[in-house]
Formats: sequence, structure tokens, C-alpha cells
Amino acid sequence: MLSVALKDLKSVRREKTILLVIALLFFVASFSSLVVFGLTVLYSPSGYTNAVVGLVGKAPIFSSIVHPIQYDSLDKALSDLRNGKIDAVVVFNENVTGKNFITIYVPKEDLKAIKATLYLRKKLMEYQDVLRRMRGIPTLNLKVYEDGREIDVPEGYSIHFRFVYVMLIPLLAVTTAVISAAFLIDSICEEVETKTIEVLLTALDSGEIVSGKVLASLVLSIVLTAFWMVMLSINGFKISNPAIAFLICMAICALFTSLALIVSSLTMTREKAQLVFSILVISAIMLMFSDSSTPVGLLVRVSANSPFKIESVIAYFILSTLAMLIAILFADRRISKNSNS
Amino acid sequence: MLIIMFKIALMELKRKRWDRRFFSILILLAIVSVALSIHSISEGVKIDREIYTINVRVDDPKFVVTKNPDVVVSDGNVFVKGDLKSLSAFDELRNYLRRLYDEWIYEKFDDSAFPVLLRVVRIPTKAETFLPKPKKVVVKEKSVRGVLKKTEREKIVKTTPKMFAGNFSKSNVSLNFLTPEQLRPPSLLEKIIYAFAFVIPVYFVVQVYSSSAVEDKIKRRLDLLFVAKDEWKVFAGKIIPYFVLSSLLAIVILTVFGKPLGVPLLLPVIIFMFALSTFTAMISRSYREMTFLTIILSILVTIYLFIPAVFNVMQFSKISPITLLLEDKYGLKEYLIATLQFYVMSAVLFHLSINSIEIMHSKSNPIDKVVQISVRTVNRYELVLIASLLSIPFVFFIEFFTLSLIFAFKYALIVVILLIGVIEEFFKSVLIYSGIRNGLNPYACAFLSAIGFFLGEKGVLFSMVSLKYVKFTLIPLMAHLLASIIFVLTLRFGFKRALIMASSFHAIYDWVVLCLA
Repeated sequence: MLSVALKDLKSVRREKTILLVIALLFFVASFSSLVVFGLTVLYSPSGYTNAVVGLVGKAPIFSSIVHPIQYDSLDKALSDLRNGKIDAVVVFNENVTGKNFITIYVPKEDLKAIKATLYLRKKLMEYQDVLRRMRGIPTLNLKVYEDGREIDVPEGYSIHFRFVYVMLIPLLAVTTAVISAAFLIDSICEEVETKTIEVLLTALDSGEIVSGKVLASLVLSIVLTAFWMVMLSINGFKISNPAIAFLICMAICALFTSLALIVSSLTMTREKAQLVFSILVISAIMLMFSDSSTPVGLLVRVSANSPFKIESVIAYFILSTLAMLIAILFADRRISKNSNS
Repeated sequence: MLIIMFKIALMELKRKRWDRRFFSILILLAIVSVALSIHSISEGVKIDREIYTINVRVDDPKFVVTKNPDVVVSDGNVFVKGDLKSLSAFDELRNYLRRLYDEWIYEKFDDSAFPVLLRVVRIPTKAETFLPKPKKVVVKEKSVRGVLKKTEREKIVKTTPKMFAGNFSKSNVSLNFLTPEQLRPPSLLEKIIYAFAFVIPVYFVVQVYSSSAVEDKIKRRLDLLFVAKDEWKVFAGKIIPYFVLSSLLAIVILTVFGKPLGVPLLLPVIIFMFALSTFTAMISRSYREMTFLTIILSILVTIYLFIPAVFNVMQFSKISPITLLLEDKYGLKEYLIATLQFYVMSAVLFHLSINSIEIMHSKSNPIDKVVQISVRTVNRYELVLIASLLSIPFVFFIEFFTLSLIFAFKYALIVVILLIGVIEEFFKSVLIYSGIRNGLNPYACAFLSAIGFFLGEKGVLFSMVSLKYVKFTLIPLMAHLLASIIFVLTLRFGFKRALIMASSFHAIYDWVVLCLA
């Protein structure tokens, strides 16, 4: 069994494909830093405190909040906006008692649009509160404190957190599982299609061959998972409960790999196996993301240090091990039956 | 000629006539899979449940009550811990409370509770388009769902003051109003998720094709076909059924989503995927290598298509057809910027695949194979120049990923500059090396590949910004030329060493330019 696993892993090393996979995970991890960097720049509090707004119309209360540059004509204001002298143009005549219909001009596409929009959003909310207070409508005044000091949390601050824990970590876990499963399909189907499995069967029984191949794919997933976890922590994304998170990732890999094993021992050709597996895996991934009780949902809570039940981790681990064993037994029977017939 | 292609296409279809049982199982699985996927999409991503902790019960599934919570609500104030998670929890709690508050004041005060209503007009600015000032303002209305009900919105529209209506009388747009809370910057992630629906089905079809191609290669069926027929006809014939199927899929999906304009945008991407899988099938040594390469390349292509679209507020996002696809509107120039690279890369990849037949069973690694193919094809002076020009999209593609490393770790800038040197010099050097192997003058090849590269780079720059922002200097050309001459001079110590020398020079030059700027 070990010899089969070693043979498969050696071929991966010889073809240097593993390097490509590691490079890929490396790129994904660095890309996430890029995306996080982008999100942080776009949503940083300093990014939108200094937009210059032009006003067309009379609006004394609004002006006392925003301090806009006053324009007499819309044409002049828009031409300054186009030339980049101002970041946004606001057009309206203030109506203290009724509704204020405000037209806002912002650059169509540019970082400036984000800056202007975020700035105006904040200021217009302040303005809305002032008008509401004048009309005797209670306003929502949320104060937030850290260590007894009042702080300002920028709008959309949670995007960064959500991106890392709800998107990136689950996607990396699933990608690793798909890669190891696809690896298993190839290593079995190639032996069957090029008939080298018959040579192997003279020395080993089919159970040993299958478990050796499964072992090789599990080793691959262990290496890849460890790699992206280390990469993420080097990039400053903290994974809480790393050991438990690792176990869940292994459970996800084992589930995908057992699926791959059953599919490939049913079809025995790479083309059919890969096609069926991809169809199944897409819906499996969708399902895993659609509920918080799935292994992926559990991984999110474990890595984000949110409450989780250790029993569900154990349950998934046992479940995936069982799935793996059943898949190995099934593949063993199919292959030995195939070689006898 | 066409007949031969159709014969091969028919052969492909016949061979693909899987036994009926497998085919019906496949259809069944596909239906179940689509149903499950639709179910999951309609349910939405729910893995974010109970990720935040709080001390009081709130009616938001993201929050759960625990003893040592991320956010503590007490006496109308919120207390946080100051870490990323705790501040994010506050941000999401704030959104939840605002929703509650809006519902409450709407119930109590009706629409007078919403004294500020906004209409957003987005106009092109000079800094962005670099085009001469348009005579008339082109107005594009941003339509976003309002908190008010439709009838109420219509009522408001009717009573809107016609103050500046004169300016927009021709714009013929429907008016939608937002409250200040709903004023959002251009969205970054949401649209991307559903754009995946356009691409994923195509990937499946391409996967079946690539399986078939690599199987034909490994079982040596391709060899037989190539003996009898022209190579390109064999490839074309094999691809036609899959291409027709994936194009039909793309057309159907885009029409269903109401984006028929997207068809010309997706076609070059589909062609590129076929070209890429043909090429990987030709150069990979085993199924495993093929699978690895296919997974990696599809992920990279997906990133290349989708990440620019995430940052759709920046000029560089225009390199991706997906950005245009999501915007629904594009001109010829934009179309070319987004898609020309895919057409060029597809053409080059098909060309390389056709020329790789004699080495398709060789056991050397994929990079060596690329060099070998280049030696076989680049055998005339003009081809060195053309190949150097055509390699620009590939260089651009690879450098796109290299640049992302800048933010990966400390001192990454040095690594990035070194890598960019290696990448550019690799492409140039392979061409020079090919020229030399085919008996061409080394210095002439160095000159041609440098000038091809220089022109290509400037071409990319021109397509992104206007002429007046690009300085015409010959210094970069000199740098390219010098690097290539260094390669020629040191080639006698071996390809790798010469490449290292040329790349080091290139990297030092880039470093100096960066320090001076």
C-alpha cells in the first residue's frame, strides 16, 4: 500500500506539477491580500473625510454641514467636476419642512466615485438627522466605545472580515479538496486505461492499490492545506483553532475524495469520471455554502473564533472516515471484479 | 476542406456517443445538480450564520448570544473589543439597527420621516476617459431599489420640481430615489457572483473536450489522424461540436439573464479556453499533469477575468471582458481592449499546438517544450519581430499575477521586479535563441525581439491611456536592446545563465527607473 502511495507521490514530484499547485495557492493567497488591500483603501476612514463638493441651489443647513463650493450654474459645476476640481456636485434648494429632492453628480467610474459617494453618504445622513430633529422625529444615535473611548467605525468595515472568513478560507478548503479528488481520479483511471493496473495486480491485491492511491491523495491534501494555512497567517489573517480547522479541512477532502473514488471505480475511464465528478462537485459545493451546519459552515465558525460544537467536528470526522472506508471497499470490489472478468 | 473538418467533427460526435445508460445517468445527474444549485442560490450563502457574538438577543441570524461577546449593547451604547471581528460585528449590527429604525419611523411618521431623497447621476470625468470634453453631458441613471414602495416612488416622481429638467430632457431615464443610507459606492463583489453563472457551464464543455483531446493523444489516435489530414483541420474538426455546444449554452444563459450584448464578449473567452486546453493537452505528459494544468489554468483565467471586474471603478478593469459584460454597454474601442488579447493568445496557442505534434509524446517538461516549439516555428527574421509582438498578451497575463505579489509580504517589491525581469527576458530570449538555432544573425534577432517588445508594450499603454500621457523616449527601447545583447553575448555559457544575466540587467534597470520616478 505504501509503495503505491510513494509511486504516485513520486510521479507528482517528477512532473513538478505539485510546484504549480503550490504556486497557485500562493497566488490565491497573495491575491486575497491584494483584494483586502483594495478594500481597506477604499473603505478607510481617512479616504472619505476630504471630498470637495459643489452646490447648485440654496441650502444653508446643508452648507453648514458639508461646507460646499457654491456655484451659480450647473454647467459651471459640472465642468469643474469633469476637470477634477471637485469630487461631486449636489443640486437642490433646501426645504426645511417638506421633502428635499437632491440630485447628486458623481464621476462615472473612478476611485473618486467611491470617495465622493462614501463622503456624501456620511454627510447626507448627518443632514437627514438634523432635518429629522427639526421635525421632532427621534434619530438613531449609535455610540460605540472601545476601552472607554468613543471610536468611529467606518461604514462597510465588515467587508474585510467577511471576505477572509466567509469567502476565502472556505474557497481555499474546497479548492484543495477538489484538487486532491481530481488527482485520485487520474491516478486510478490512468492505471486502468493504460492497463498498468494489471501489472500492479500481479504483485498487490486491489485493496492495497486503492488504499495506496487514497493515501497519496490524502498526503497531497495535507501538504496543500498546511501550505495555505501558513500562507494566510504569514499574510496576517489569523486562523483561530488551527488544529480543529485543519481537521475539518481534512474531513472535507476525505468526503470529496470518497466521492471521486466511487465515481472513478464506477466509470473506470478518466473522461467519464472527471465529467460526472465535476457535475456532482458543483452541486456539493453549492450545498456546502448554503447552510451553516455543513462542514464549510463549521469551518467558518471555527476559523473565525465563533461558537461551535466540538461534537459536530467529531461527527463530521467520523462521517468522512466512514465514507472513505466504504468508498475504498467499493472500489476494491469493483476493481477486482473488473480484473477477473 | 470543410468536408474533412465535418468528417472529423462527426467522428468526434460518434465516438462520444456514450452507451445509453451512462448518457441517461449523466442527464439525470445534470438535472439534479442544476436543481440543487438553483435551490442553494435561492437560499443564498448562509455559512455566515452565528459568526458574531453579542450579549442580547437580536433578530439577525449572524448574531448569537454568548458570555464573552464581540459586541456588548448596554443603555443604547455599544462596546467593542477593537479587533477586526468585533469592529465588523458592530458594523453589521449598525446595519441591522438602521433597518429596524427605518421600519419603525416609517410606521410612525410615514414618508415625512424621510426628508432627504437622492437621485444619483454618474457622469464621465476627464481624469477617467482622457477624451476631449464631450459637448453634451451623457447621463446614466443609477437605479437601485428604494426603501419606498413603488407607488410612493411614483408619487414622488410626479411632484419632483422640474428645476433642472431642461438638462436631461433627452436622457429619457426613469427616476428612482434613494435615502442617504442607500447611497452606496459602486458595488464590488455582489455582481461578480452571478457573473460566474455565465462562465461555469462553458468550463464543463471545455473540460469534456480537453479530456477527449488528451485521451486521443495518449492512446495515439491523434498520430493516425495527423498522418492523413492537415493538423489544423483535425483540431478544428474536434473542437467544432464542443464549440457549438458551449456557444449555444453561453447564448442561452446570457439571453435568460437579459444580457444578449455579452455574447461577443464571451466568445473570445470561450475560444481562448479551447485554445488553452488544446495546448495543455499537447504538452502534458500524463492525465495527472493535464488535470493539474487544467485546474490551475482555469483558476488563473477566472481570476484574470473576474478580479479586474471587482475593481470596476479603476481604469485597468477594462482589460477584462467581464467588466464590460456587467456594464451592459461598450464601444468598439473598449471591445478591442478587452478582447483583442484573447483573440491573439488563442491564435498563438493554436499555432503552437499545431507545431507541437512531433514532440507531443516527448517526456521533457512543459517549459522545455515551449522552447522546442518556438525553435521549430521562429525561423525567419520577420517572425522574430511578429512573435515578439504577439508574446505581449502572454507577458501581460503573467505579469498581472506577478504584480499581485506586491502586497503579499515584506520586500515583495524586489521579488516582483526580479520576476518581471525574468518573465520579459524569458520571452525575448526564447525568440532570440530560436532565431540563432535557425541560423539567423544573433544581433539582428536581439534587435528585432527588443523592438517588437518595445512596440507591444507601448501599444498596450496607448490602449489604456491617451497619447499625451505617454512620453516618447527611446530609453526603454535601449534597455530592452541592451538586455537582449547581454543574452546573446553570454549565451555561450548556456541558456539559463544567459537568461539570468539578461534578467538581472533588466531588473536593475527597472529598479533604477523606479527609484528615479
